[in-house]
Amino acid sequence: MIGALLFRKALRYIITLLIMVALVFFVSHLMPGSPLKNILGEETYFRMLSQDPQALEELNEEYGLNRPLTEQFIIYLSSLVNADLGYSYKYNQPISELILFRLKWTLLLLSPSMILGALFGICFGALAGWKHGSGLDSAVTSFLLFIYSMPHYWLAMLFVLVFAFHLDLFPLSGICSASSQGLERLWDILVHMVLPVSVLTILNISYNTLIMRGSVLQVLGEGFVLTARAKGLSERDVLFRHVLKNSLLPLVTVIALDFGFMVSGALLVEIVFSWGGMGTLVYDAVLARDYPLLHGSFLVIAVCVLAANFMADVIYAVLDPRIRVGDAA
Amino acid sequence: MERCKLVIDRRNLSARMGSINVFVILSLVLLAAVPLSSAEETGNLTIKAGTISSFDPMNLFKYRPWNAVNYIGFTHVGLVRYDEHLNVLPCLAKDWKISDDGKSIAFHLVEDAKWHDGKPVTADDVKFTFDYNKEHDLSIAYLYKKYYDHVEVNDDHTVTLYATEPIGATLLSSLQSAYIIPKHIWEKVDDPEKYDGTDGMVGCGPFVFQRYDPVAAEAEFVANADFFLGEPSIDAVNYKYYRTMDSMLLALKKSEIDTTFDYYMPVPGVYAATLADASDISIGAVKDVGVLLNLEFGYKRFLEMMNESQFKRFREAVSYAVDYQEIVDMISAGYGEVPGRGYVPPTAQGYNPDIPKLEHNLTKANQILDDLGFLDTNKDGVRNLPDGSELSFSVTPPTWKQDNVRATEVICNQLSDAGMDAHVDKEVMSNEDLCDQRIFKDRDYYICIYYSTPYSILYDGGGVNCANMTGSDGTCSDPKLIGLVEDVRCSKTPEARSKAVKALQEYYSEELPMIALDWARVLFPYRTDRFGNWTIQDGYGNMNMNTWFSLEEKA
Repeated sequence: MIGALLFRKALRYIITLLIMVALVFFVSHLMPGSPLKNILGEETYFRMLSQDPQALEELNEEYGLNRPLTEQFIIYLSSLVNADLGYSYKYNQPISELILFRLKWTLLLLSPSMILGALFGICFGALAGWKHGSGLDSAVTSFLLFIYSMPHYWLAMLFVLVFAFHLDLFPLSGICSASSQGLERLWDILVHMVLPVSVLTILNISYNTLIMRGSVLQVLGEGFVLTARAKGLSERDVLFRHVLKNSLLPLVTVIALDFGFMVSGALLVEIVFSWGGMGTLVYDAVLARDYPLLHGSFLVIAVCVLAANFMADVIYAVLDPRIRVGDAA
Repeated sequence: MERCKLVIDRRNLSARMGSINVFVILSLVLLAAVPLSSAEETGNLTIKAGTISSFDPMNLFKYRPWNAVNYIGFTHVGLVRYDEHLNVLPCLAKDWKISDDGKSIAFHLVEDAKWHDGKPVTADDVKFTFDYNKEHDLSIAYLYKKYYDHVEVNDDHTVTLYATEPIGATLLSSLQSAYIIPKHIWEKVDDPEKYDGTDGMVGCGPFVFQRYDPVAAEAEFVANADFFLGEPSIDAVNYKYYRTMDSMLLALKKSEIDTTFDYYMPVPGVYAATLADASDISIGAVKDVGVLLNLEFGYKRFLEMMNESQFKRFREAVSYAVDYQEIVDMISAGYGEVPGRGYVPPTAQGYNPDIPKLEHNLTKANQILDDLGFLDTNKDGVRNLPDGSELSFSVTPPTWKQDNVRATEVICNQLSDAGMDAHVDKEVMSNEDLCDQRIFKDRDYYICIYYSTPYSILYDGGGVNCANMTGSDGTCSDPKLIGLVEDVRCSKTPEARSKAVKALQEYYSEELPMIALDWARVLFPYRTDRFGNWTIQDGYGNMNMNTWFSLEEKA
């Protein structure tokens, strides 16, 4: 039964992926601006546009930019079938190499911040929900709402200024120093990670806490909580054995969705901390109108997001028998 | 019950697997970052420079930034170099002679120059460089490609460069950025822009490429003890990439780097206040070689609105309506000066200091417009042309340059004070393609707020911006202007070039085909606590070939 359920889900995700591939391709080509401006450099590009438009046309031909969009899309799809993401205009490197290099650094930022964000979010959310209406609830909720409403980049800049510049506790930016080698480099990377991971974690905690609090409040009104209390269970047992478990389900979806949002949300944090991850790669690709790199990056992000959602579906089905039964029916 | 247990076991298993996966991912990523071998230690006297131009991959033929650092003489050098005031000095060529017809230059090369891999630099390498650039249509040294005809090898250390036009002095000056490359490496490379071999960084300049760390985004170069002009006074230079100007300047203030560097992308004036307060930092304000902001008239459009003599007087009125000091204060935070009517900045060869400065005088502007009969006949606050239509026109900025967009808004307000309905060209603001087409392809604008790069000034005194002729993007077809620009371009000797630039300035002053808005002082901030005796070069600041030899460590 689970096998059939997963098959249907997988099919749905594959169709979604195909639609996303097409959308990313066509929407990115609607952006104004020519990739040749970045390839040639502004000064040369404008001089050629003014003096030698024929040569510019030839370059468009060489890069296949003047072909009909549908033709370019078919070429792109056939490359994808051959697992070839193409070559970056801006970096003059194979896109798969570029993405693999950058993706690992983004994962390094996201993984701890998502895990810590989820753990603390669950704890704080459960506590605030359980003690709803209390002074503790008001303080936690107000403070985290305040944090959540802050722009990511602003919080990141604040951290840089306070902890790196004025207090000199951490490095200003980057992934590591070139001078560090061997095991020293491992430590160096960890030290460089502290501030960006902290910013992302704090933002994650604030979001997850609010979701978790809402979920706990909803579960508190369920009949089985009343039954648990009527059985004479302690408040602690009611919270941890009944309320918390049932409140976790919405958070699983939220964390899966977070994975996608974090890649884009981490973009600004990556920029502030000069962290060479996927976010900055996508940003550079947009600025340079580097279409192959843009397509490749979005494809990988889309696959990651869909995979995370697929995993969430699987976990949901495992955790909640009602979903299996409901889907089977 | 059994089923319930199974679910719980799965849950536990899933949680454990999740933890293990995360641990494995983190470990793999961290281990992948650890280099297998330690890099060779660089010397103690190391300059750390920050830049906001990314330099991945290490490819000499990518536009930035290796092209930029070589512009100042780094791993690669040209036949000639600049002194701190941009006068041409010997480099790989120890001397030269421009032919009487101005179409060729014979160079005698230094005899002890070696590539970083130990092989000698010969005349064959010089010929190969020019042929290779032309064959592969490479983006560096646009000028010499355009006028380059061929190179003749006379012997191992003598070459003659032939041009298609008599542009001897202009060509000589541009050769500073024509970096000579080793034939024995590049002759095997068919696609130079995709080549990423480390030997691609082999040159004969004062610094040798040591290593590039893509994770730290940092590159290391060590001094070349065999450099033919002598060994640099510092041991090494490290370049570090910063994502934003803010993080780079914080690193400078925190002593993580000694200096900032980029080619004609100086630190904006708005940062001057915060840098001026910092201890041990020099703002590094130097006179610009280019013109940071200018106002270019679109002749085609205005000549549809008024006749030539009216248009000349109208340009004069516009020049009086602009408040230059306000623009200098706003864009350059006061680090600049009100420009002269002769357009070319004081750093240019042949600059004429006797030409008067531009003047903001609203009374004169109104008087000229009144004399022209451009009166506000319907009392709506906007002047009318003699046919009753309004004196209304758009002002087009290059949308990709924020300072120009800001300046455009201010200039529109200033012109409105003189009764002109000047408004920002809204059509281009959301359409970059249309903007490029309007300014460069169609040249179909009333007024464009643009700029002249150092290259534009060094090439033909800014003629590329205003003249409607081959090799230019301007709209003025006046044969007198075209002749004067050609005279600058086709100067056979430096003296003839200075004379031609002076004549061009007089034309600019008289006719105002374009107006300089800000003779800025560009900022290249650097620290003063570790090193002293930086050589400051006009337009390019403290990082240049002369600095490598003058720097001294502070006690």
